[in-house]
Amino acid sequence: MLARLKNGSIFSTFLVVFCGLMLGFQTNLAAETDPKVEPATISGVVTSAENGEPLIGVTVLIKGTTTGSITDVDGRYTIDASAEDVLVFSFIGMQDKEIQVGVQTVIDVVLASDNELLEEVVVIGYGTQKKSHLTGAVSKVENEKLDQIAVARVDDALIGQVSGVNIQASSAEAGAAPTITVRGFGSINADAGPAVVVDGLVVDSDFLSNLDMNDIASFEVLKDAASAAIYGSEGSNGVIMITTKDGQAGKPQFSYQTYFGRKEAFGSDPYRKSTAEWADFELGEAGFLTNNTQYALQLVGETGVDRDWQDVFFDGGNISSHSFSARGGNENTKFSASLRTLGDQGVVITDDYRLYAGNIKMDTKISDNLKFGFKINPSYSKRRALPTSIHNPIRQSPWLLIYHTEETIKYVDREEYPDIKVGDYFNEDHLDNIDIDPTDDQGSSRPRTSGDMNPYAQYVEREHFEYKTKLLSSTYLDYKITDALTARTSLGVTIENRKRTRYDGVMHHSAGAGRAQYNLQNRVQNRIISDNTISYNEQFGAHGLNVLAGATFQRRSAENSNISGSGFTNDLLKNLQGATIVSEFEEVNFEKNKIGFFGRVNYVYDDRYLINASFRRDASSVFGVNSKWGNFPAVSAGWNVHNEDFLGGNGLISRLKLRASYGLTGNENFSVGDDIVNNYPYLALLSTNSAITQGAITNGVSPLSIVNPLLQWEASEEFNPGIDFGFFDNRVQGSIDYYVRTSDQLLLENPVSFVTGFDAGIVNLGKVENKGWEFELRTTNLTGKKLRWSTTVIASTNENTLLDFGESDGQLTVDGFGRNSQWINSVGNPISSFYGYVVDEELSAQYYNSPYIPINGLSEDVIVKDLNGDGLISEADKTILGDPYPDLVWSLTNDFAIGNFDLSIMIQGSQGAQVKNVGDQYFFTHWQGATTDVQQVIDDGIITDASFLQQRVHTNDIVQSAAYFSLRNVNIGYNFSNTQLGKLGVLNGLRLYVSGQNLIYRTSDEYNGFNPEFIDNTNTPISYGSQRAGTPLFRTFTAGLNVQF
Amino acid sequence: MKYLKYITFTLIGLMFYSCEDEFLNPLPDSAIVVDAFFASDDDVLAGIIGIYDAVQGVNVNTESNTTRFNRGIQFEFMMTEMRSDNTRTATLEGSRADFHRYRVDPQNVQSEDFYQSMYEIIFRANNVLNYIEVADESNQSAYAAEAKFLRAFAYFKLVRLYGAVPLVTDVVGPTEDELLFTRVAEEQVYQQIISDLQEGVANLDNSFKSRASRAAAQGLLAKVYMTQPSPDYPAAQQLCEAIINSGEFSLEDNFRDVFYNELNDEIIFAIQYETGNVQESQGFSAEFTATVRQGRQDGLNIVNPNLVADFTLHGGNRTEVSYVTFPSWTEVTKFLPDGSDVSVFPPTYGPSPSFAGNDVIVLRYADVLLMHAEAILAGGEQVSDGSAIESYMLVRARAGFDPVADRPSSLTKDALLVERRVELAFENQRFYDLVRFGVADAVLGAHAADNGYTDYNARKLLLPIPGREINLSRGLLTQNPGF
Repeated sequence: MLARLKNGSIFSTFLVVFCGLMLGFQTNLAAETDPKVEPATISGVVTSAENGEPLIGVTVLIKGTTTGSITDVDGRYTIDASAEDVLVFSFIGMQDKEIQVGVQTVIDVVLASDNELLEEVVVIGYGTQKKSHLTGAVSKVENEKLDQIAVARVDDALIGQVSGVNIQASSAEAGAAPTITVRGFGSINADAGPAVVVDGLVVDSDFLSNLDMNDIASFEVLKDAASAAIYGSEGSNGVIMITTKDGQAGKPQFSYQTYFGRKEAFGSDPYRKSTAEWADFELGEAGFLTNNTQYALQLVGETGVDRDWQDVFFDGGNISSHSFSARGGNENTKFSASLRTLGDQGVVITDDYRLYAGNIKMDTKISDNLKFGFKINPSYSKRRALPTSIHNPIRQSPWLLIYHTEETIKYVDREEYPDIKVGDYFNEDHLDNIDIDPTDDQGSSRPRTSGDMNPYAQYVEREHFEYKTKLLSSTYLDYKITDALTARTSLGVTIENRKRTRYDGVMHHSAGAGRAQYNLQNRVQNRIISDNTISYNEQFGAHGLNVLAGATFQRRSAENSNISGSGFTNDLLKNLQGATIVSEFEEVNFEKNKIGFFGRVNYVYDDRYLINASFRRDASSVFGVNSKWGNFPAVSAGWNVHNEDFLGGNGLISRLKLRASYGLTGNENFSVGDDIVNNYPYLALLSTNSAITQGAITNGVSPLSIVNPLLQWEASEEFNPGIDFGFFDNRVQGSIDYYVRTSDQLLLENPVSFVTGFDAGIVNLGKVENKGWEFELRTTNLTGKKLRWSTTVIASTNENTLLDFGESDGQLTVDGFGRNSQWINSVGNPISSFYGYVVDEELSAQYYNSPYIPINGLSEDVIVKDLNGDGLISEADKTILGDPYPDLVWSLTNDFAIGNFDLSIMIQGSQGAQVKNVGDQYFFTHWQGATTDVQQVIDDGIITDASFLQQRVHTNDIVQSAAYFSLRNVNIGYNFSNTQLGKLGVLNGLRLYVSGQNLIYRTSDEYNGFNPEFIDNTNTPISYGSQRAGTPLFRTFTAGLNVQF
Repeated sequence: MKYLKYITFTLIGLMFYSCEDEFLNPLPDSAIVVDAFFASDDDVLAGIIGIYDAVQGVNVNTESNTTRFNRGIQFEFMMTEMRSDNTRTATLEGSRADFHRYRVDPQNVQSEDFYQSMYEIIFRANNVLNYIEVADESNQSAYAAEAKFLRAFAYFKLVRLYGAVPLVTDVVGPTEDELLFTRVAEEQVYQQIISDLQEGVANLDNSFKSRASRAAAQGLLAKVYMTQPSPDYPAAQQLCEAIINSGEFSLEDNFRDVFYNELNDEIIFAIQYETGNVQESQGFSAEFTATVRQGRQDGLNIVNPNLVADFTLHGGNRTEVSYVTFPSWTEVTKFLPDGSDVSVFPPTYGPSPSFAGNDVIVLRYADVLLMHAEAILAGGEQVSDGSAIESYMLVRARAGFDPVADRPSSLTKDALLVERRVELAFENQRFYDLVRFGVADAVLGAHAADNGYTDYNARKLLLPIPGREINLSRGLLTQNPGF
């Protein structure tokens, strides 16, 4: 309670600061409008001295005033100025130029590059650094055309952009988050995703959906531990730093960006079902048609419906986005504001996502040494989620109609279903047993695939919504104590309210209203972060010194509640109001706090020798009293060889940097499915429960979990040597990195014997190594005025190995589906390795019952290999069948500019991963094809022992390559020149483009499902990489428009 | 303005640091924080109620689709009805369809859940037993007896389904491999069960039907005596007679009332549920009583024809209460959810059938009467003892048979077994009865042969120890033969 009150005082303090600043800000604005004498309109083009190309975004200011302008995409500017005015042209990386207006009305300017400033600046933890001074592995992606990729989330647009970062479309549902991993899976039970930092504020990765790509200036990914260690416990899986656009001094720039796209699902050919094709196959194989197939053909003949359910469910969808922004300010105060709406219909029926977001960012100089800024980024989204896994409806029979018609109603078993009428949902079970051909001896039966639900009703009659209201906000105060010494304090507040409603209507299930139910979940999550730093930055001759010290405090809290209702008799009120029974209620709240102290020293000698050392000490409320604190040091060094005399004037090598880093990061997060255990694992806690005794509810208690007071930080250690190179004046440039990351004392929910009363306990156990190479190459192939061409190649490899797993080495795990092969967690192999039997050969059709009954049916059993040659099949014949981690992820991007046209093409792929596709079992209805007489198979000499027949789902038959190759992104655009725009009046810039994502997407031949990148959300890191065919991959065609005015 | 920034810095820095202790050690408000687990009489009682929560299990129709969820005794029908000749599943999809075909493998999710559930009961009982002395002295012996009764209840199920199992009578940590992974001989497990139940007989009274009672302990102990490797029939007979002579229980006049009039005079021990309450309801009613599926599965516990045949001959008025024959199915109708009406067609199942409140009847007076006859039969093929036949006839007469005309001069083992089959059908007795009568292999072997269940052999009478336990034991825990 005490802490809560004190938090209140932070807010009041900031409120005072804020109001004060707003007053100061207003005066600044007022000072802007000084009248001018005899102004004339001056215009011109600003070009670069280096290559003669126009410079976009050059600030043109009248000296001594705040009146200014900015050059457009053609380097053109116009400004009203008097003869005595002096124009100041400034641009990052260029030397400022001042020109007296005099009598000129056209002033073309050539800016020379400032070698000192040309250096690209990179955002790092709690600061920035010149790229040439970097000693760690940091990748930067500038937002050039990322905003023209039609995806609902900014992270989806990053696929293929950064080496070492794997972004997997692990769910293709509209608005769903992809799975991001930086340099492989380090943590086992913890969230293996990277930390996300937006303008210096650490946020939950879910806030990636809050951001508008149009607002983003750049992404920086801190990949190695030394770069991430300043974030201590946030940094163990890498850090994605996002910098949003600032306003520029001068006339406000308005822009409007929009695109409209069409999405089409790819679907799966192996899973397509057709009654007619199956009949042909059956006739060819068996020589006659089963009664079931004859029955189905007769239905098809009458209804004309013989289509795969993919054709019904994968209906495609539209995606559209509108974004409006205004940026501007004067030399003291800059602002940036934007509004955005996005609609994404997904590619599956009922799939829908809508987002509305705003963003306001303002920075102001209160005095020469005091700066203040704030940022407010609210959003609201509504998503209709898929109510159940897509394999469920799509595996149904191709002849099954959605509704009964005059044709189908005749076939209904009237004894059992007396009330079914035309227009009702059609279930397989309604069909009567009929002997279609009385001349054969097959008797009567009815065709059936599985399940007694209508596939369409299963989706359309269930409405599952997710509403999110989110706020990302931060404020800072920056005080320059001396020129070299700056203090900064910032306060960040993020709030997320997630409401989920799930209504299963009275018609969703064949059982009718009895299965109707409603569930309402509310979750409010808050995170308050206070960061306080002091930095010292001084150059002593050739010695550059940068010192940083700081403290950070973080409070997270969450309030969850959950209520369910049932007893619906109709669909008139699809919420608790329509329920007659409140059947479930729950409330869970928790808090998780952290304190961190950190420091960093960065020393540069003569731009040649670079040394960097940092230290962070973190305490987390998650751990026991004696293990709350963890220490995370890092060191790194670099040598800019190209600045040495012996390489000076070398025409070939323009850049050569050798660097190496070593660092430790920590992790405190794990998820065991119980929020209380996740946050208080060291406390002895009783959970409440209840039982009915003598007809009344009586309260009971029981221990919640196995308490672990010794739980401590998971630590990752990483060594990363690297080389940056540039040839021919950096026309060919790139970097190569090698990394070895060892994650130790993994926070893990490890299975324990049921005899303890629990199924798992949280422990620090095991050690995982991820190592690999990263390669980035960028070449500027053509630099003509009319034709420009550049190429980027990005490739990363990763090898995941479990180094130590204590007593649990060799542990077998299963997923929630409960019906397929296992995983093994064994030392020397990837953490989650698929484990099972190896198929030797197929069992021929004569040995399994009704091989032609379900369309596309396959046998349940296959003959497996006797790996140890002992003549029997036992556990010893199981082996590792693959793993879900890609060995190589790559992309190749070519950018062309021809006159006003430009073209960008990215191909991207992933190799070496497998996926356990349990979808096969459902789509090929394995369980219908049981072996009828095992003894017969033995007697016929096909197998020597019954154990040679094993269920197909326990073999490598369902472990399929997840490799893919895609034409990930194509963008063709046209930028209107100023001359063209002149006719359009107010416009400063206009771009039209068309783009496409996944125009080509090729999977391996052995993969049968809908999306090799899909990972079922019930997977855990020790049983990772299974799916039931997944949500479908899709291609998108987009047309868009960007306007500046 | 100049001071403001200093104030801010100082405030923020000091504020967090000054209350570091509280900041880094927050306490939850959604779970009970305790130094020791239990501190008062009420706490111990709540701990005992917590054991019943584990027995009751979590409804399979809850939102969570997690496999390891402790379904308690709600899955027992798969181990006992579907693994006997009574019932089967409607389709062959999934691991639930493995029970009636005797092809349950060590990875079977439902068997694993049941095994885990029983040990959760045992853990909660063992845990409470460590805090008994915290309770009021007058309650201590009854509390201890109640916890031990429930521990015996769980071990009795485990030993009959899995054979020799790890036997723990205290809380064990995850590293105590010796205790966790040593299979203790069945005789020893029975010894523990007997001593736990004897404490119940000595220290409990009959004030509850939905919690442990003396009669419940007596009845369960009688069954234990007859089930253990070397049966003690006289002791069983004595216990049954103690219940009969107590005069506290009687047969309901109407067989239907046994199931729809909760905690009636016939009930000795039942696990209770509440309709519509997700946490306190059961899912099996929806899974196996409806012709139009109300549960998640395609149809479980579908009645086998040979059970129908037995009912035709011996069911009497119990038949119409036990199952109903629809045009193409025969469905269980004991435990119909509230508001069901199977007399209309198609039948209706009330507003919330998947959250049913029907109790699981663990022990009822008819069972005790038949056990009484069984104890006197004492493993023989037939008996002409008057009191054995009297007990047998009480049950049959209620079913509509004539007490005089239908009274046999001697009671055969087969007649008693079939009487138990029809009286207690779908009440998780059949499999245990077949084993206890020593005819499981003969009856089920023939049943499997008739139905083409080629995976059957006598070793399949035991379920496999869950594979994960074998894996975790790193070779210490042995599997049942044949798996």
